[in-house]
Amino acid sequence: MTQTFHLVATSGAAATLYLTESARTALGRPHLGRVTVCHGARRAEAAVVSILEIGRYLPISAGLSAALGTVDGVPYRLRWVDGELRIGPVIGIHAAARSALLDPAPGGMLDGYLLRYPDVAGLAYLFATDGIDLATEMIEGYYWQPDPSTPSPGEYAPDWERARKLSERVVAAATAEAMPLPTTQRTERFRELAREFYATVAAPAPVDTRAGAGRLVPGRFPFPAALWRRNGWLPQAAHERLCARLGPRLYNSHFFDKQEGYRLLAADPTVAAHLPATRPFTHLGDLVDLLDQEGRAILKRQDGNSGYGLIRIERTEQGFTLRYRERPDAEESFPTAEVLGEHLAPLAAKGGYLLQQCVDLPVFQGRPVDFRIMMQKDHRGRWTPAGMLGRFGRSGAVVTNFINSGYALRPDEALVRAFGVDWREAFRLKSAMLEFAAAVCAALDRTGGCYGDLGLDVALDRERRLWLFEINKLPFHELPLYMGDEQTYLAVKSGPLLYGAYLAGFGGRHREG
Amino acid sequence: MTLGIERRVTLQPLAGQKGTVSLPPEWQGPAREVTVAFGVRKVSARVATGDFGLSADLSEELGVPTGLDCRLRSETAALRLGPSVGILGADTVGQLTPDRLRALSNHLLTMGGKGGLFLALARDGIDPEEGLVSGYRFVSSPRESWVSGRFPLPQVIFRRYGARLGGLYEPLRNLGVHVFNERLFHKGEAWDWMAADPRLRPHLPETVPVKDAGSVESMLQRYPAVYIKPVWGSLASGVLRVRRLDDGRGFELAAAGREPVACPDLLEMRSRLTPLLPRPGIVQQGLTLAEAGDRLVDFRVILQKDGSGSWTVPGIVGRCGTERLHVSNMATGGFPTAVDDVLGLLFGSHPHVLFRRKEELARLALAVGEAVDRSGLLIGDLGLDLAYDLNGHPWIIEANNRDPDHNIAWEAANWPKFYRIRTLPLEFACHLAGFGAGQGGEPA
Repeated sequence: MTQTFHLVATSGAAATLYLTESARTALGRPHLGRVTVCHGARRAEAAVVSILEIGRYLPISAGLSAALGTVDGVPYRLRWVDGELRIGPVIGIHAAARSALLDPAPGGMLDGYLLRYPDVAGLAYLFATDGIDLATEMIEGYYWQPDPSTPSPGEYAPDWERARKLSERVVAAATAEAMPLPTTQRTERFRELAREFYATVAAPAPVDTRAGAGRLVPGRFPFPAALWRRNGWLPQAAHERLCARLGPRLYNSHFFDKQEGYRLLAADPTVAAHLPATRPFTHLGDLVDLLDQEGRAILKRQDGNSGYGLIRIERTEQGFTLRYRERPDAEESFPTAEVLGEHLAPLAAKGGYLLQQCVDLPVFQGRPVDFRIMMQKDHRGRWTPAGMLGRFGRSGAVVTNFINSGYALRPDEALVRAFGVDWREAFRLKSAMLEFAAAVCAALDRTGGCYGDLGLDVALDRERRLWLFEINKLPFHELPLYMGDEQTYLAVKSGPLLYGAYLAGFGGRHREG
Repeated sequence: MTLGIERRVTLQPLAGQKGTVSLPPEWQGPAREVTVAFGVRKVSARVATGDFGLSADLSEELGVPTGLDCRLRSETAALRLGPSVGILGADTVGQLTPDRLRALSNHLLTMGGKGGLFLALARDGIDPEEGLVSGYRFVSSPRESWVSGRFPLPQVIFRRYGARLGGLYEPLRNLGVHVFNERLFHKGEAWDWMAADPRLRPHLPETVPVKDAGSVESMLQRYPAVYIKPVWGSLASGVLRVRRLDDGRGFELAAAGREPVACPDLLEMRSRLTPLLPRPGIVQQGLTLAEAGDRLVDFRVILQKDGSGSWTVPGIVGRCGTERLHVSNMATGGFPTAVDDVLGLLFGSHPHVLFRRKEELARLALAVGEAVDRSGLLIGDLGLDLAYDLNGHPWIIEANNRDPDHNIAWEAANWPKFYRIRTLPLEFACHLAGFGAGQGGEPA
């Protein structure tokens, strides 16, 4: 069973951490003495001293607490890893570009990221780019402080004032080597203290559990052990420093663009067959060849989002037609390949466009249908589908991008509509897509880089073949709200905290042990 | 040869050879002899180089059906063909009617495209001595169908609720067959397992076995009301409630579906109670559960093992009781209601609050799953009844392993959840057979 402990800062500058019996047991009874203690990216040498049981409180000298940047009032877990004592997890979430955008109101935008805090415990904080101070390697932001009067099931309700007083006394007794007391009397004194403690502070609180209540509190924190990037913008200096300190535990560290993503995945045999053929659009001849073979082709911007700038080209009896994503109703016609080539030559010359094979999407009431699958890593570091939706594009549209003109449905319902199948068959198709998504993510992992939160654009064509269009590195978590599904939105938004705990070396759920 | 690699194969018969398996070079190790396993059978084979194939004598010895589309996996000491999984769905083969078989194929919805031997079994078709079963084999294409025949014992058997194993469990286990949901457990056992976990203790109403009326009396000294339940009962059947009346005016005894009876003193209570006591039974602390618009509400949490062998919660259903006289710690005679609606009535419907409460219920359920695992039984499906008291504290009313999905089936509108609950046991079976998914799940 995993337990949590509250650190109580006591006087004394010498770096000392006091471990109670239950803490030592939780750590697998390591050898004490001089030990490296870690909290987030911080490390310090400290004396680790055994102390009599005082419930779930661990006294820590003020000096060590300051060096490590530990925070009062949060329940920490302890792990013994590679001869180091880890206090944590310490997880940072880079949530915005400017601190002014962080709104700590209860039940608001920010605390949604921390809904699964009871599974994780430790120090979890949210910050903006301008909160990073490279000089001190501290980050200003908001951390989650669980409501002390409403502990999680099976935990104690801390009484800080008493805990502090008692810790001071217990520590004084433990360190007073010069104290002229015979051993028996000292033991007696400890027992007395412990009894007093249990009578008041550490007795199991009349438990309730207003399920994970707490609030966001401002503060300054050391660099975390694991950092989840929810915001794309990080200045070069900050990025480099964080990479240096956190190494592979900075996730979403490497952003690839469309072409690089394609190249990475095309090298993997399990995925390659499901990628529409794609190449940089530099030669008009490639386009002509593709149109001869397939009758249709797509041109898309290499750096585009959400289908921005996308052009669909189709061979017709009269020649060729062009449709732009931005102007779905305006069709341009070209009688011959030469005229078409003249029109598109500037694009090919300028570069930055990709030529892609066109996939025949199923159509419902004139709307093309594809799917977004949100894949996240869990507390064991394994890819898990966090949410999925079917997207119905604008009638006659080039892409399914629906925010302005289409709609979204739950995946099974979308499949029922798109393919006219029953619920049973829809479930089967959905399962196949989810399995495919997991295989794609596993393939991406094999290319290196650290990802934990991806949005996959996946389709089944009219022959029910699987296609992967794109992998989004900073996917919109809000997509499920377009189908009125608040709970899936929250599941997607709060999921990455679990992977953060895993990366920080605290995998497995806190409550699971 | 790399360990743990897996691929889908259809083994070609090797003409004119004996005792041989043929493998592409990347599947070969230095050894020229290799063990090939299928179900619980094993043979030793000479390695030849070629496309995947097996000589006819070995196919027959292993009992691999001709042309079987299955998966091949390299393990430490063997090459394993599989998975081979049986669903125990009836007591006699005769009861495996076309309708019953059609229902069983729902369990296999996610298996069709992956390869393997999937069987529908009945108790009287299993012959551990011969190592054979008579039953039906699932064929997924061109259309789903079941073909009758005799097959080697599968490596894993999923016992569906209602199908009995009789005395077969021991012999099957001795042969190396993993049987999950091996037997039902009762309320008393479940309570003992859960109470051994200190995390669960604050969520369990105090429970003692019924010895005589004295067990009830001593519980009544500590709690104003107690419930008496038969250990094998379900829902409110056979449940009694006894409570102390105010000002020492005696006791009130109530049984489901009957008017409560007042007993002026202990003696009277004892004489009325004694003939009604269930044996074996339990006495349980009465709780003051939260109500929503004077209906008692509780939650059925479905807990199943997935393709990675871990417990998962595929669904939670709220229940609103119809019963005004609360003769049980449960929303008896209630109707299933969307969990968000019920939680909203209890705690307000801020989406964050609903999310946290569902996570709380799921966390508690996962801890229950682990506690049940520590009993040593191999269980893949559990149904939990959880409820909140007036302080918002969650309580575990009951954990049982009867058919875990009847409430979801009632909640007929939610087909995706229905099929998810149906298919999880086969994912778990594949995990037990060594062909687990590794990745898990399904979106919320």
